[in-house]
Amino acid sequence: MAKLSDIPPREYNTPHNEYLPEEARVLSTTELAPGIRHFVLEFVDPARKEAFSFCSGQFMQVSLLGIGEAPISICSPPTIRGTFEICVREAGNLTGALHRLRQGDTLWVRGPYGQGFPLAEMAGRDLIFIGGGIGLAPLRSAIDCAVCLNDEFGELTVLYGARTPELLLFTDEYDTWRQHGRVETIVDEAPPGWQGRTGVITTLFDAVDLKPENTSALICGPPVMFSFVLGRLKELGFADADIFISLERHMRCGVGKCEHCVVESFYTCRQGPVLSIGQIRGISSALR
Amino acid sequence: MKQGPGPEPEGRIDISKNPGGKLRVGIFPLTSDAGCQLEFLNLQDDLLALAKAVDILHFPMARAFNVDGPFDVVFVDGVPARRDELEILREVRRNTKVLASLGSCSSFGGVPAAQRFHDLGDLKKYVYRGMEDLDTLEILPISNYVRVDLQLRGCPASKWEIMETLTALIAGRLPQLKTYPQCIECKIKENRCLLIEGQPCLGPITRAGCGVVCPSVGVPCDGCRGPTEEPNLTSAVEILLRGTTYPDLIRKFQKFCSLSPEYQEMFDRWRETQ
Amino acid sequence: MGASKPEIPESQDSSGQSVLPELQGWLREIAADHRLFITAAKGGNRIFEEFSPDCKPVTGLPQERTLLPVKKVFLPPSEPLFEFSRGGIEAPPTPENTVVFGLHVCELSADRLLAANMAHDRPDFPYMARRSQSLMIGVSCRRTSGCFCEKTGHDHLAPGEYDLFLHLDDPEHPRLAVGSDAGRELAANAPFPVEDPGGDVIAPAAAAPERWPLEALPEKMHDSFGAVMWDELATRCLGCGNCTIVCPLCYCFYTRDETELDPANGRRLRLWDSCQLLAFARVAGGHNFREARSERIWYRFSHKFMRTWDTFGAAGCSGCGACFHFCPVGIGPRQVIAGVLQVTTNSQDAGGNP
Ligand SMILES: Cc1cc2nc3c(=O)[nH]c(=O)nc-3n(C[C@H](O)[C@H](O)[C@H](O)COP(=O)(O)OP(=O)(O)OC[C@H]3O[C@@H](n4cnc5c(N)ncnc54)[C@H](O)[C@@H]3O)c2cc1C
Ligand code: SF4
Ligand code: SF4
Ligand code: SF4
Ligand code: SF4
Repeated sequence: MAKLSDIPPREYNTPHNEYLPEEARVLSTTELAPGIRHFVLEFVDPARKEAFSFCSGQFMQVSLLGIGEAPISICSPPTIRGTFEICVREAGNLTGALHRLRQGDTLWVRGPYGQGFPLAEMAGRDLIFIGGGIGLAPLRSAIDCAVCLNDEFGELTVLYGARTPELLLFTDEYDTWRQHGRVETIVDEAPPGWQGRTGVITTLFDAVDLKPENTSALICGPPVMFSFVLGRLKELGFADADIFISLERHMRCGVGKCEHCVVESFYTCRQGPVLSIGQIRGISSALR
Repeated sequence: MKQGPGPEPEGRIDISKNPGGKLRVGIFPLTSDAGCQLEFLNLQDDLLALAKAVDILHFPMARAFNVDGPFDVVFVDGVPARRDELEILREVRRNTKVLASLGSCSSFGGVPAAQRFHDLGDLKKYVYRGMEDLDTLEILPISNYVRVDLQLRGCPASKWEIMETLTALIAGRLPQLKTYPQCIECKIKENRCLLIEGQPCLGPITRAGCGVVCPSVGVPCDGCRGPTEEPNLTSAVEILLRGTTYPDLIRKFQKFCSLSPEYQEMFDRWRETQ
Repeated sequence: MGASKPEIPESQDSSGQSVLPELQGWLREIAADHRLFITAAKGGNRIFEEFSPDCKPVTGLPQERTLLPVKKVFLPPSEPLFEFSRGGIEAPPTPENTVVFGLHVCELSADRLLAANMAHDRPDFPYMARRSQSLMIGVSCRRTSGCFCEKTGHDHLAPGEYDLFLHLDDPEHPRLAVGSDAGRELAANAPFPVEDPGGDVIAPAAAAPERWPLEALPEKMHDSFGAVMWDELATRCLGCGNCTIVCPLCYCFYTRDETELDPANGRRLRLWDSCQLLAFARVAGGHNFREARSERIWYRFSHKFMRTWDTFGAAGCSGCGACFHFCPVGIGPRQVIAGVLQVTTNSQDAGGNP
């Protein structure tokens, strides 16, 4: 615990201005699904491009000058150097403006921020990824990382749900993922002729075989999904310390100063966005 | 009866820019005292720069030749009180991407809506003397007839909000209008608080954006910018009654924004006590 | 107004306190090579104001807490984080040395805690750039009916925890205590007897001096989540944010971009926010993580008595009483903490913490 008495004000140093973003260029952009775009980005400054590293589950503060700023997860694996990717759902002011960007345009970013998924601690274990909607974005970073570091992990299982079939993201990558395990998808509602499953995401648990004691769970999705998925994982015998969940909150600064993202005693932007269920046990407002 | 929009606009606002060209702006007056349009002229120094930066295509108060669209943004001042004004309003909605209500008349019925607290026949007799056959509509906010994307409230509308709307649309940003209460800005200006001194100031439950003009000169806020997102009116009325009488307080609420949905329950309670 | 409210005196100047003539001269000297803030009277309140030759510093024993706390000097209500133009982005220049004169014990203590918070973990650059070059001069206070620093532990400062402190409890014999090296430099020209090194600085004794059980409060706060006491407060609270704007230990902010008519030019602003506002925890799509006013009130107090304690071992409330004084419905920490201390785990509503 930092003690007030340990920090005499006169000796504070002010090393780095966190609030100044840096310019990044859009190398390519594609529409993944209606209202959802994928961007491959690269820092304009070569030194920054070279030095940039992050871990899966971390996010960037992405902005356009004159429009605004918002937290967006990195969706590419840390094993790719030199570029990074984001996946943006059009939700309002900034995300709407991001959708108007084209190849060669620039935007502004700062970060990476927050604690990602502790993949290093999961070495040797099976991984189950459970995602809903745009929540697949940070999970995709971790999935691709696990795929790339093939030997480090056991079997991979991806359970993914979206509102409609056309809103399922990264569909052309599922085959690659399947070479390392299983990918099961489900949608809330589907047009006639849809061959896949419809229903709630928990039904996907019936389609897979898990070894709970040797599996870590990585979850990201809308809050409504959490209680059902967590209930099911508990039933299966997953330990709280092996379940990792990425939370969304209103965020402005990303560095634990603006107070918007607080849940009781932790900052979602600093101790989170990825937290283990063990870390948030007893905090009833965390999982809403 | 539908009574004006809540704080969040329904549906997506189309803020896409007119490709290659300047922002096409229209200012349409309906029945009002024209005070809100006048705020455009009151932009003074900014007005010249503004006239260069955007195309003001329709502004009868300031232009001899007016075009009927298409527009990127239209500000509607006032409320439809005649049937032909209703047609103008619907036509405007068809011809613009963004429609903003300008001032508390178009947002909430404003002062003209006081009509609703009196018998229309009496009003025609005493106010519009000799015009008993006048064909006036019931005064309702424009959102009652068309979709409204942005509410620029106030009597008159605030210059700051007009400029934020225009600069935001030029930049491709959703205008960041304030939703918090007057007290925030009032405290930041370090004004003395009239309410804790016992005066009936509506600041805590009134939306900011005017620069707290009234409390800054020692006059309690009259609530011309309408309610905050979630006004605690039961508690507010209790506190406000320490400095005024119930009928006076209700009249204060009825003055500018009487049709705001948030106020109706309070008015109902008041009627029950009568 | 309500019987519980102390009357605001017409003007602080007429509160009968002598203005020390020698002080004016010293302040003028300091202002020659510093950005100097003093406290002055405005509309019946004491406020921090930039020193100008014709300003009237409130000296003697200013009783009332200031309207806005000293945070406004280091974390302005609105500031550009950077300006932008076709040439890119540019941070505003770092301000020069600042001296603030006229802080009470609780204000000095709260300022230290706020600075520690801003320096903690990932430092807040704009705040620290201003604060780390600044020097605070305290003055004696008199207890007012509305303040309670003895309850929160912000009622004393050890040497090293202040720069300078002007003791005025005996107006005939002012003395200037030196608490830091930087303070010593400034004290060299002071027209008062100097006490170097200065001793502990302690606020005037309270009638009932017992401290709140601050160590126990984090857990009590946690247990009280969802309790009915918050619903009761929510029926009265107007959600106006007055309480947090005037609080020396509230610092949260939001950001907003602003452009000129030429959209290439503009700035990213950061502005004071308040957790008492409905939109504070709302995310795009409309989901609000703190929809209920009762929960927002809980969050305000949990920040002060839970999160700040857990991080710094200090209460995030100085006990200045400003929030209570400026709250239209008279909600304040004394009443709230009394309630929290009474909440037992059994009296929670459903939905509370286990
Ligand atoms: C840690 C973290 C990681 C995240 N990762 C991702 C990610 O990888 N991908 C992703 O897409 N999102 C992600 N999000 C969510 C993302 O941050 C939000 O969607 C984003 O903040 C929205 O910002 P905005 O400026 O676009 O919306 P805002 O403008 O702030 O939207 C607020 C509200 O304004 C209203 N509004 C805005 N524009 C309009 C309009 N034109 N018409 C009508 N109403 C409007 C809407 O009601 C909307 O709900 C993440 C969030 C967090 C906290
Ligand atoms: S004077 Fe009115 S607006 Fe200002 S703080 Fe008091 S109640 Fe709020
Ligand atoms: S919570 Fe109230 S009493 Fe405590 S420091 Fe803030 S304003 Fe002062
Ligand atoms: S108590 Fe509320 S208003 Fe104050 S700093 Fe904390 S979050 Fe912000
Ligand atoms: S000042 Fe009082 S009424 Fe206003 S938000 Fe704070 S506690 Fe509620």
